[in-house]
Amino acid sequence: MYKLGKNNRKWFIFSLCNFFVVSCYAIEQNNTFDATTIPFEELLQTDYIPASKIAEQISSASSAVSVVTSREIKLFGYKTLADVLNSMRGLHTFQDYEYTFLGGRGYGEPGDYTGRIVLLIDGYLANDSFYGQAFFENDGLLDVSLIERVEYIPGGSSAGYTSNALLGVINIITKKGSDINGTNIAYGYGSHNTKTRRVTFGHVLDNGADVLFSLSDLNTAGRDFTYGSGGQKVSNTNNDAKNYRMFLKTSYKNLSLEGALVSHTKQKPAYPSMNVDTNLPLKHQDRNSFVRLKYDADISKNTKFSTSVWYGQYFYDFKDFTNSFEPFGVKAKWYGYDFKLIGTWFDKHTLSIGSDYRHDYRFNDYIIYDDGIDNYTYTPKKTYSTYIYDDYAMLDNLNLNYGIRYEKVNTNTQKLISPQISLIWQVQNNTSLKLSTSKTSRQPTVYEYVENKTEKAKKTEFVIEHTIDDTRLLASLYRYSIYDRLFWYDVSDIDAKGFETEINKYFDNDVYLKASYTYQKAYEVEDKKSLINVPTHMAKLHLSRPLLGKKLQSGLEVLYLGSRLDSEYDKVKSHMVVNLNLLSQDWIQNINLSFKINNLFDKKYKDIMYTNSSGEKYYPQDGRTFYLEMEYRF
Amino acid sequence: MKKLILIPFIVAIFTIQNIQAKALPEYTIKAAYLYNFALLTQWSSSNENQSDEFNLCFYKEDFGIASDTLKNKIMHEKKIKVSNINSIEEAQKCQMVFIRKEENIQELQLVQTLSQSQVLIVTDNEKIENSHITILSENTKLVFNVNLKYLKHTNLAVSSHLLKLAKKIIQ
Repeated sequence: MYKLGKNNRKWFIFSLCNFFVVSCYAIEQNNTFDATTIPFEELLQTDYIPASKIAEQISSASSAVSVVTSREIKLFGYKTLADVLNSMRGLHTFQDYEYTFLGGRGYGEPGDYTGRIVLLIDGYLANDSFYGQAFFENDGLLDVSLIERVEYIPGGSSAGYTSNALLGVINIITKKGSDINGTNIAYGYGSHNTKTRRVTFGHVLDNGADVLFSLSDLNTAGRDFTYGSGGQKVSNTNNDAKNYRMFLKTSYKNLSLEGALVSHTKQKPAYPSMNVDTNLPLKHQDRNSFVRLKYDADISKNTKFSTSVWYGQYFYDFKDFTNSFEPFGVKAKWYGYDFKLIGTWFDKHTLSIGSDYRHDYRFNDYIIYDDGIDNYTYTPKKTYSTYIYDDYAMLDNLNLNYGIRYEKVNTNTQKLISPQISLIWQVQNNTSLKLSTSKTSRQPTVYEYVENKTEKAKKTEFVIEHTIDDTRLLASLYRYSIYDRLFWYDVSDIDAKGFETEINKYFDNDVYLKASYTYQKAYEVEDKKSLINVPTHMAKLHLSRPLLGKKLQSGLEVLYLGSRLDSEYDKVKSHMVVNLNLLSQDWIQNINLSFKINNLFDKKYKDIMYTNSSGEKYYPQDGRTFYLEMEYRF
Repeated sequence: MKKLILIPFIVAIFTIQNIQAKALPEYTIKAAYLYNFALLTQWSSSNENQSDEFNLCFYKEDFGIASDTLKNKIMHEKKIKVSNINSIEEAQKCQMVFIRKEENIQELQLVQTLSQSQVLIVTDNEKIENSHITILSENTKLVFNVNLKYLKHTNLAVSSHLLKLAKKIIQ
């Protein structure tokens, strides 16, 4: 059992006191301002602070944000967060049969645990604290059916979001019990003998409390594949996976409680990750969980207050059936709190001020030898951060957003300062121009084990948005510079620049179109070498339309990934994958049916891996697969 | 550094006193809009349900604490009762229903059923065509449209004052 040291105790007690004093003070105030006391005419002239901005402190005005809603998740039959992210402008996911990784805006290194992207679930930082990994597949904390909305905010906005958001933030808003309003039972079956089950209960109780509870699991046998050069035929029994998940979200008046748990076990063939001439698998298990209590209140006419306290843990266990490696694993546990104020105390200014405290009080790894266990304990990490962010309405159509986040960690002598500034000009009612620049810093994870260094990124971005009726057009021009990179050895700085454009349009008769194109170039500054696994061109098309009257909704997805370099700087040719989903909602009363065909035209394509002693450079990906799900609502 | 943690705490203590509001949270404003819509609408006496309360309902929507300010206020000589509802049957017992922005089949069915009843339908979803009042965002303000085309099929009477304040009147 971990015991708090004297100094830790002092800060823990201080943190708790701070949390409760502010909470109690807030409770004592009139919790909600009564705007009915303002004459209606005056009220109509009052500016409003968007709900999402208050709820999750998201101020994305300066970035080219991508959004996927629960409606799109259903229409296009997304099954994992990776599917959702892969549908977004400028992003692509890739996998090594063990984990799924994210690439975008000049990054996409194979095996990068994506610590440079942070994942927020209703404001909770959901990356594990050891590797800094965000989980996108069946190892993630959430079943996608529980997601109301996913936002991807490209990097450079740390002050407004969270620590370490070097290259981007994935912000997930989950559903409420009222969105479910009953009980849903779902059963799915798909290729590779994949079976899923899910039960979700959601309801608003008579006293106004909102409750959502969900349980789900997955079992899959995995796929067969053969390697040409190695000649390895891997049987599907060595590539199976299973998970179970639990999610709870309740809210009553100003308080909300949320918790999630996932356990994911997966096997993958030892070859080609390791150059072992065997069919035996490697097996790993990730277990991730958190619980968070949050309190929100309007503490005065012009002050919104929010505070939360949380606890989380992550366990990783690995076993190698080839016996090349001893079994090993990782344990990480953390808790923390945050509080923030959003206020309109000064004319034309909306200020966000907040502080976070996080204590990663346990970092252990272990190796099991024949003659015993070797445990290693890393120094616990205490992170203090504070930020201020201001949205200044200089003119009716001109806003200046600026802010800074300051962060200090006890294990690092370097302090982190992440400033940002942006100018937003509403040229006309339906056209806006946004110019932003920022510098963001990131602390190393325990896994990276680099002392007294911080990684930094500078970003400049210019965005044009134009809306005509049901059509939204967006274009973004950006440049990133990533320097002081955290690595085990010295590596070059990175320069990345690109252009993105997107159109969203709702036609009559429920037809929906989203199309995007991305051009990007990323290279190492020292030798001008292009980065590996960064495609120069990406294009995506999403089209949804009703069929058979409105009994069926079809969702067609076309994903084009341009050519890119592999780990030996050889060119990998481009590929295009087409996915099709058919959705029937209430054709049969209370039953939703969805049938998804991934890779409709059975395109052969590969993801990139680092070359190892096996000589392989790629992970061949699935051909055509299907998945059928039936959901019964009552 | 550790002292910096105190900054928001100190700011909280010193800034909680009211200064004139230049911006208010979205739901705080929307709740007040609903109150004013009800105030400026007359329900025919035949529609008065047997209850002594004015039923203001939120369909699959939760204004959270913002709607608490409306509870127990007096509206047309009745005490306001705020309810979160989830079905069309429940909606028929309300004087006023607010429908959330997200739309799916249930919302559209609800509006279809209620649009010619005596229930004032308010939404912030501009895609729902046959609602009575639609709240929309316009730059930094919230505005509203009144749909007389559907209101005239009901026995609801909206005041000319409300029409005067509307951004757009759909005939």
